[in-house]
Amino acid sequence: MTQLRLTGILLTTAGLLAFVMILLSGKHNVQPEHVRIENPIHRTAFIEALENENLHQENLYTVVAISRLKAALRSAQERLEDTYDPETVPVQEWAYKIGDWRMEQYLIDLVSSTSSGAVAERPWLYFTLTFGLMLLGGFFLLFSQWKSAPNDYYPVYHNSLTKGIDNQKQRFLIILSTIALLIYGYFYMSHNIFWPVATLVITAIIVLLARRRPTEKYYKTSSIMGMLGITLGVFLILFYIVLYWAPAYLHNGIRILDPISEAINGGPASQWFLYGFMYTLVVLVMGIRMLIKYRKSPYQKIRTVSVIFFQTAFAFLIPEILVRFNMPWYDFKNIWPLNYSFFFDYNLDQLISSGSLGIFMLVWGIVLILIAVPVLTYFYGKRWYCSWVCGCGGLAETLGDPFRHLSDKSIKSWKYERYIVHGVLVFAVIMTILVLYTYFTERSQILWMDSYAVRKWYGFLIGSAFAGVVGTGFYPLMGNRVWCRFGCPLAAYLGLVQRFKSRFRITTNGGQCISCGNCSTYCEMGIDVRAYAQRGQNIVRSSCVGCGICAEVCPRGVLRLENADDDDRTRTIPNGFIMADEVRIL
Amino acid sequence: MYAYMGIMPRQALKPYEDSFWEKNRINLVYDHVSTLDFDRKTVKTKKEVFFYDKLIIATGSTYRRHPLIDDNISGVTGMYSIQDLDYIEAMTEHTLEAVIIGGGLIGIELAEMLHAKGIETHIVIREAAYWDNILPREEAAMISKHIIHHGIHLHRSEQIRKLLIEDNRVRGVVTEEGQEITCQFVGVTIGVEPNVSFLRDTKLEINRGILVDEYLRTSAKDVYAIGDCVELRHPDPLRRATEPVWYTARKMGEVAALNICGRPKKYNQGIWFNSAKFLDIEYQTYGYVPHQLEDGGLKSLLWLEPKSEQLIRLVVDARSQAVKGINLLGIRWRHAVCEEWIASHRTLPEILPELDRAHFDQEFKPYYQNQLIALYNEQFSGNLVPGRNKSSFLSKIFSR
Repeated sequence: MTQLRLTGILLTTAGLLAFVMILLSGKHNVQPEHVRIENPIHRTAFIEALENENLHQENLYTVVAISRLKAALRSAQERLEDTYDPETVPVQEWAYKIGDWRMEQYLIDLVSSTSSGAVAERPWLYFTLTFGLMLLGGFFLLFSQWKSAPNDYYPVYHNSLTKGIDNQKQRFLIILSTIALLIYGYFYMSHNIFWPVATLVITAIIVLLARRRPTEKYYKTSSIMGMLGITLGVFLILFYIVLYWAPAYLHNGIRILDPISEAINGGPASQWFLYGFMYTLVVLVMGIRMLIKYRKSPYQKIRTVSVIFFQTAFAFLIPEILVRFNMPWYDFKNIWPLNYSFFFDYNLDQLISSGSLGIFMLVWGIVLILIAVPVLTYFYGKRWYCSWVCGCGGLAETLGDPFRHLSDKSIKSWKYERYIVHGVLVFAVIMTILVLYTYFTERSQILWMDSYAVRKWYGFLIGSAFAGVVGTGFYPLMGNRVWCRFGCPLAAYLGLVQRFKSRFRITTNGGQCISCGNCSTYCEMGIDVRAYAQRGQNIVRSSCVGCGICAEVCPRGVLRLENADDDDRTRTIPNGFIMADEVRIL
Repeated sequence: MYAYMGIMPRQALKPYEDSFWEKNRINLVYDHVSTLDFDRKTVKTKKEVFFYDKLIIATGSTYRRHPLIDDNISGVTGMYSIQDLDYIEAMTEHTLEAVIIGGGLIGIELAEMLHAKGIETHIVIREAAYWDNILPREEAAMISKHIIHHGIHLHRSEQIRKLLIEDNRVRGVVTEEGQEITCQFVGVTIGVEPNVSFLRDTKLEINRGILVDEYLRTSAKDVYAIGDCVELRHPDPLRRATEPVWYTARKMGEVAALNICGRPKKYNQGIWFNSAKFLDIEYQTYGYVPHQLEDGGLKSLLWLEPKSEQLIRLVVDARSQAVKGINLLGIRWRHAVCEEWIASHRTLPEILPELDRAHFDQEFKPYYQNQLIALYNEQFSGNLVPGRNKSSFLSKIFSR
């Protein structure tokens, strides 16, 4: 490995380690004078809990402080629960008891107000130690990329970071993740066993449906086991778990970005600002890497610029600037059902009450769903969104570029994909219908379901676990598009249009395919592109995001992404150069 | 190549999933054939005996051995089968320098593999420019330059005088000019020949390859032969009796399959096409492109772009300007359209205005139609009107 690359990797890792250390080394004075809770009843109950149970102490490390604050909060919650008497209490029930939904936010506020403020005093110092080092490392990596030849072959299967894990380990990982999520989900839904069990039943049905397919032989376990990749995967998974379900631990990291947040949106940073900032930075740096790597390919360069632009402008800067002007935080390119909270009551209320811009945002969102998706997908295929505009797609195409080849190409995987992704679409639609029903009728109980519980479970399972934890955390383990391929309901919607009524296809050039297999290896969506090319058949698949990498790696120029006539008869039948009809592939 | 370079896993080299064969009732037998009895219609392998109604022989090629090189010297091999790949992987684990003797499509692939691993690679070729026994002068020159520019040493108009050996392992070569090149691995890529030696003592009619008629039938009843091991009794004019490339083999496979399934079909050589990749340069060819054009009443329209390493050559009949053959470097054209142009004897002034039908380059790549038309007007004294400039604004900014 060259000096430049090694330096880059060391610097980036140092910055990352510094970040983790700063998170863990925060100091807190858990004392009554540092408690800032607005609600006086809650504040009093909390301070009492601190004192009665002797939880207050100064100079505690963040992890210890959080455990004490949590204990005190729970104790206060219990006491208020016990002492609630509608006759004697002067306020509403929700203003007296501490609702579960309030606990996390109180914890975050308490962690912040009890902090000794080391980072808050010198945020730029800590910024340099973390983001600064990581950016410097990134710069070295980009420079070394620039020095290497364009379209250089990367020996991904010889590299510990990118070689992935074999079939058996993947299976084990999926089963372990599912079980862990369902167990955590039980607690998340306040000890309600219905949701995990219902999900388990549906999973079992899907497995039964997709299992009618012989399993591929397992590869040798020893040859495909990338330790670096596994380490990165674990790190990403942990980061997302903390981000979604234990954000209080990110406190110090969030404080680093306070000055930047103040500059853009006029307020202090939150875990979402931290996330958005890191996300945008990663897309930018890794995007530049893509531009350098594919400097001979105009399509890749333009597409990468598009993705960087939409992430930086639409997903980060514009929404934060809107907040500065007291407008709702709004990502103009985020479309329902990917943006699953669009039709939630608090969002609709917020948009309606934000003047004409708010109404515009509401109408824009609806127009995107009903008009933009079918029309643009008809002309260009779903690539207009999935690999040119979408934020998830943007991260996948940039940070996920070294991991494209890890997607599973088997027919079995394709079967699972079809059941799961359309299942999620059905779930999203039903959930939204229930939510809207509640919004208009003020009734949340439909049959045996509570619409609030349905949406909470959707947000947990699909919005956080699938899209975030699995979606990004699994990059080095199962490829860069696990969410897009198996979980995204918008992808399912776009895919239906692309498959049945679109001008987009990947044309195969007559009889030129030599079955080398590069296209299938590098298809991030796990499409066995070779199977179509070697039959002289165009590729029209609902999962194809039009990234164009298959066409890049094809050594004979057999593949071309194009928009031509939408007649299914010409789009999908073999072109006659090769006799394809006679064998059963599926 | 890609498996060696760590770009693809070995498993991905299989054209179909393992479940495919069983599902289509195809039994795969991993064994070696020891004898064939064409009278009793049996095939005897090391483990069992098979009776056949129809037999298709598809034993492919074997790489030509170098007359000066002993077959059992360690570190020397050709590259054809997966066993050869295993051997190359084992032999080049600690190699610093390698020499490849002979330059064609397999030679360049082997060179790319070794070079990507960081091995100092030398190619020794008889020709004055790379593959100029097939490629016309300008194409061969562009490719030679490209190879050298990549850091691979190209020894042109050279041959090997002898091999230097130590402990039965190669340690260097000496060329005719007397130059000594140290190396720990030698690749022999001087061509392939039909793999039929094991059939020579049977009654099958074999010349250089197994002789077959237009239905791919051999001289033995119910025995067909396809692919590299075949020699056509009556090849088309301008085509060869043995054409050891992927595409012809695939086509022969389809024809033989139809024939044994009772749907007789002749093997029609049709319009020739082939493709390759020389490091970063993609090569496509259609029809008839002789490597020396100074005869036969043919003329070329040649468009060269050395900076982007691209080339278009349209070989036409000097009088009628009908398109006979097409060579492309770094440019992708539609197979169907090229074949149609050649088969229908379309002329240059007819096809140049409708060049976008053939355009198969990636979206946003710059478009050369007008340059080609201008060149035609100049060289053939034509008066074609340049078309609307198809290069988009984005393609002008984002292409180099």
